[in-house]
Amino acid sequence: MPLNRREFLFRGVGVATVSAMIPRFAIAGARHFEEYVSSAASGRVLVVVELSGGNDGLNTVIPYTDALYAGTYRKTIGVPVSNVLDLDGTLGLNPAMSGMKSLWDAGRVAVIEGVAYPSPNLSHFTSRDIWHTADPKLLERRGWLGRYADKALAGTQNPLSGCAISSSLPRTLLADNVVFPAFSSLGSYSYTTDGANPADGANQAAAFVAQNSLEHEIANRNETIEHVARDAASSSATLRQVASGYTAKATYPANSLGQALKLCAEIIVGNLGTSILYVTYGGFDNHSAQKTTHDALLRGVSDAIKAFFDDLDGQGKASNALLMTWSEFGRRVQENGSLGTDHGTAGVHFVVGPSAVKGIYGPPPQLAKLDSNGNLPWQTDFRSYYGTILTNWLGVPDAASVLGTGYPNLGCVART
Amino acid sequence: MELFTLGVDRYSQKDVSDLARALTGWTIAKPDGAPVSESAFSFNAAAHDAGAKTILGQTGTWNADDAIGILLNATDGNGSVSGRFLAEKLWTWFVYHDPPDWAVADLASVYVSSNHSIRAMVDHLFHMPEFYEPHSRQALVRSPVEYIVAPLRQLEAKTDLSSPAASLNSMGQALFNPLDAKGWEGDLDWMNTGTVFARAAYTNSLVPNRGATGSRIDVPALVSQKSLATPRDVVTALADRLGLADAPPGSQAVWEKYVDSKPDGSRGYWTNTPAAVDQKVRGLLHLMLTSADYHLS
Repeated sequence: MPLNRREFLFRGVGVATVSAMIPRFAIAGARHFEEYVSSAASGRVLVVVELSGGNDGLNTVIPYTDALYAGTYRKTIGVPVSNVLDLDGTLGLNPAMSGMKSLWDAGRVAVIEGVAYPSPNLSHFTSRDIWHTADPKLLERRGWLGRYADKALAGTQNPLSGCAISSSLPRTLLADNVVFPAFSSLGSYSYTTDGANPADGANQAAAFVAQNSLEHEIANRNETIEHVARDAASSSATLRQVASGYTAKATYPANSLGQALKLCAEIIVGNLGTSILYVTYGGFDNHSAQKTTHDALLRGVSDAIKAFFDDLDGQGKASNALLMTWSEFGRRVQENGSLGTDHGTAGVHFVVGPSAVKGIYGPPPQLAKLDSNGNLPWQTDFRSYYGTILTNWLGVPDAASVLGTGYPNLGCVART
Repeated sequence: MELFTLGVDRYSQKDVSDLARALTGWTIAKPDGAPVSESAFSFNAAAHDAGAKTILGQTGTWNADDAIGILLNATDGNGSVSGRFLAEKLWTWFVYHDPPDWAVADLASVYVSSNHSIRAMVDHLFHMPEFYEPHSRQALVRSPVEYIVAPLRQLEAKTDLSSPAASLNSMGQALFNPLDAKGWEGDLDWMNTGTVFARAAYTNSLVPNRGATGSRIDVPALVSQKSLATPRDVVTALADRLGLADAPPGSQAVWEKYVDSKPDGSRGYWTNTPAAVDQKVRGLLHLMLTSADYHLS
C-alpha cells in the first residue's frame, strides 16, 4: 500500500485536531519511521509459536510404522495408523493437520525430531524457563532472542522491532537494551477512553499525547516515562494505520492462534521493520481425555499456520517469514489411565516457510529404545535448533555468542 | 549472602559451601503419622554437620545461628557490611535510586546501634530531612501493585480487587512469581510501551465504571464540597486527591485544556453541571492516572 510517509504519520494519530499539539511526537515519529523502512529492507521476520503445556509429539508426528505405537503404548488414544498423513514412509502427521501436510507437500516444512536438552526437566515452569533462556542451568536472566536483540536490534530505536502477541512479555524476548511490547490484540495496545462518552474520546487521546510531549528544562524521570508513552502512542497509531490498510488474503481459523497470526501478517505486510514476532497458544497439557482436545488443538495449529502462509503468499510476503514452534516438553510414551498423557521429555517441532528445507531432522522416535524412566531419549539439543534459526535465518555471524558452543547446525533452514 | 545480607562479591565460594554446612540439619518435617499440612521448619540434629567451618575468615564448629551472627556482624573498612547492604535496599525502596554514601553510612550505624533492627532503621529513615527534600519526591516509579492500589484508596473506590489483581500480569508483576530469586528490578523497568497501555487499560476499567459491580468510584461524592467554577478548579480538586498538586505547569495546562474542550476540540466547554462533572471528572482522572507525574511517586 503506497502511502506518503508524512501523511501516514499524521493520519496515524487518528485525531486531526491534535496535530498542532504534537510537534515532538511527530518529529520523533517521522525519524523513527524512516528508520523502520530502512531496517525493513532486509525484511526477514521470525515468527515463534509457543505451544504451551507440553505438546504430545507422538500424536503429532506419528511413528506409525513402529508396532509398539499402536500395539503397546497408545492402544486407546493413539491415532489409527491407517489415518496418518504419511511424510516419509515412516512418520506421518496427525490427520487433523491437513494444512501442515499441504505445506509439507509444497516443500515448506522441516520436522525436527527428538528435541530436548540433557536431563530434561518435567516441570512446566522450569522447563519453560530453560527453553526461554536456552540455559538448562537457569543462570541467564534474559531470553535467547532477548540476547540476540541486545546484539542486533538495540540500535534501531524502533519500538516495533519485535513484539509478542500475548498478554505479557514471554521471557524469550526479555532483553536488557530492547523493550518488546506485548499485546493480545490491537485493541489492547492502545489508549482506551471512556466508552460512555465517545464524543470526548478524541479530546482524551489528544490530551494523553500532549501530556507526554511536555518540554522539560532538564532531563528528568518524567521525560523518560513520557518518551516511553510517546513510543507507545506512535507505535499504536502505526499499527492501527497498518491494520486499516490490510485485507487478509486467506481465511484464518477463529481460534486465538489464527487471530494472533493474522495480526502477525498485518505487521509483516505493513513493513514496520519488525523482525521478531512471538505467539503463544495454550492447552497442550492433556493429562486426561486427550484425544478430542488434542486433535482439535493440532487442527487449530495446522489451519492457522496454513492460513498465515496462504495470506502471505497472497500479499507477496511469504518469503519474508519463517515460523518455528516449540513446547516445553513432549509427553510420556505410555498413555495413562485417564486417556491422556503425562509430562515427558523429547518433543517434535516444526519450521515452516519458503526458506525451510523440507525434511525430517533428528532420528525418529524408536519406541523400543526408551530411557530407564520410559521416556524418549533426547536426540537433538534445542540449542542446535535455536542456533540454526539464528545463523541461517537471522544471519547471526556467531550464534555461539548467544547460545554457547558445541551445537551443530541442523541445516533445516536455507542459508542465503 | 548475595541477595539478602551481604551483596555480590563480598564472600568466596568456600564461604558459600561452609555456610551451607552450617545450615545442615534444618528441614521441613512433620511429626510421625501427621498429615503433610502439619509440616514445620525444624532441626534434625542427626543431619547436622558438626565439623569445623570457616565463614568470612572465622573458624569454629558453627551452627546456623552462629553463621547468621557472623554474616550480620561482618565488617570491612567502611563498617558493617550487611548494615550498608540493607541501608541501600531500604533507601532504594523508599526514597530514590543510587543512595548517597552518607545516607547509607547513617542508616548502617543505626543498624549496628540497634542490634540489627530493621524497624529502627526505617524509623530513622522516615525522620531524615533528606526524605522530605523535593528531589526525594516523585523519584520512584510505582510498582504495578502500588499502581492498582493507590487510586483505589485515593478515590475511595469500591472494589473486590479481583479484576485489579488480574491486570497485574500485563503490567509485568505476576504476583508471587518474579523471574528469579532476586525479585523484580523495579523502577523504570516497569515502564515499557506495553505496560503503559496495560496501566491505562486498568484505569479505564476503574474510572468510567458507572455500574453497580466491579471497581468503581462515586464521582459526585469525590467533588462535593469542592468549587468547580473553572477548569482550573476541577484540575486542582482532583490533583489534590491524587497527590499531584505540584505537578509541572505543563501537565496542569494540558489537563485544564482537556476539561474545557468541546467534542470538536474547541474551547469553552466547561460549565459546572452534573453531566459535565460526570464526563470530565472521569476523563480527567483517567488522564492524570496515566501521566508520567502519577507513574512516579
